[in-house]
Amino acid sequence: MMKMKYKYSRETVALFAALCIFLSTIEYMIPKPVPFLRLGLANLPLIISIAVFSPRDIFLLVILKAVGQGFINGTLFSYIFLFSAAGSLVSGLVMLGVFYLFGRRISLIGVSIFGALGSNMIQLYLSKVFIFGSAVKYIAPPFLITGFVTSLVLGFFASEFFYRSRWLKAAEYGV
Amino acid sequence: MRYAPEIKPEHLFTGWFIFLPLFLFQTSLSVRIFQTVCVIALFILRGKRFKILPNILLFTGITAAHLLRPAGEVLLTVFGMPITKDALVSGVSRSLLLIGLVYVSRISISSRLLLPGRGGQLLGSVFFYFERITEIRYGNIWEKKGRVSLINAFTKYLDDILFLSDNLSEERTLSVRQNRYPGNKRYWMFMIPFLMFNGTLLILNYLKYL
Repeated sequence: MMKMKYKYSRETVALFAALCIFLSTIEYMIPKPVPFLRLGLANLPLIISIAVFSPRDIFLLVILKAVGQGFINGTLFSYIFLFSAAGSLVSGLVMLGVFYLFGRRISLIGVSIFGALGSNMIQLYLSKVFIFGSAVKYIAPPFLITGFVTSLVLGFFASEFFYRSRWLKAAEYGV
Repeated sequence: MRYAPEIKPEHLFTGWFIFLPLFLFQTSLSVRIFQTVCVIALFILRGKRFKILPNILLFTGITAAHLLRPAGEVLLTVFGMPITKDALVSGVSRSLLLIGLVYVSRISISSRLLLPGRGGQLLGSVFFYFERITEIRYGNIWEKKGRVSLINAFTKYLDDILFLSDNLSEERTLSVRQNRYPGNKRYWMFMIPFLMFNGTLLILNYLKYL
């Protein structure tokens, strides 16, 4: 996809982080039939930010998202925070890596799938170390399949937003 | 009724931050029920909106998930599924902990909160925007003539929030400038005994008196 430059400020990064937290709160309210079935709505602004922000601001967004979610959802002192922070950090790193590596040859859908894969892998590793031990192999297949499907949907939404957004068009200032 | 609405945000945050471990490490179910009820009552007294349905869904969802893994004495059987004592206690305790932590976070965080340093300022901005986003009503997104696709509605929704950012930035600057509260003695007169009481409950629990 085309790399554009956008006008934004640190306040925009804070707004994106607030949007992540808001979406995570919405997701928190949606009952899940199984614990690992997450939509990952909170990652949507993060996926969009890959094409908009500088790498430094993307990492700032990841940190603000993780800490902010910890405060708002009340998970700052629980293992959920560790999983969420590690997942966000690795997914941010992977998405940034593939976006800069493949450039025009990858869409936000592809970026999203790679990001989810990175996030799921680190969360499975943490599950193995802290919760399930070797039994993690039983939850890994459904966890990874769910992650793939939801990241596909999220990537599609992010991609559509990227091409339709009036805000992004207004913020563009060059290639 | 609201209690002490002019509390300095930093004081509010500090008080509830101290409360967090007293709540988190409490293992007695009866004390946890008491603490959760207190937190929700104080949240309502602060004039914040409390919705019961999401909490009921959360409570039943987590408790039901725990009941799927039977543990301890069988209390009764519902549609062939055994309801076991340990699983029920663990599920109720876990769900109350999660619900309570959400309200502790929500009661302790104000849009005018200023944590020290640049990172603290930025985090304050995040909370400010979060509060503003939650106050926006999105019903009109769907009130369009004809069929509106989910993608269009979603794009409009995100765009509306992002376009609001300029106005919100000005409002944020203003709110930071107005953040000159005197510390609220009444708040600490309530909070110190409340924290001491909860600290005592925690100690009693660890000494196996509860």
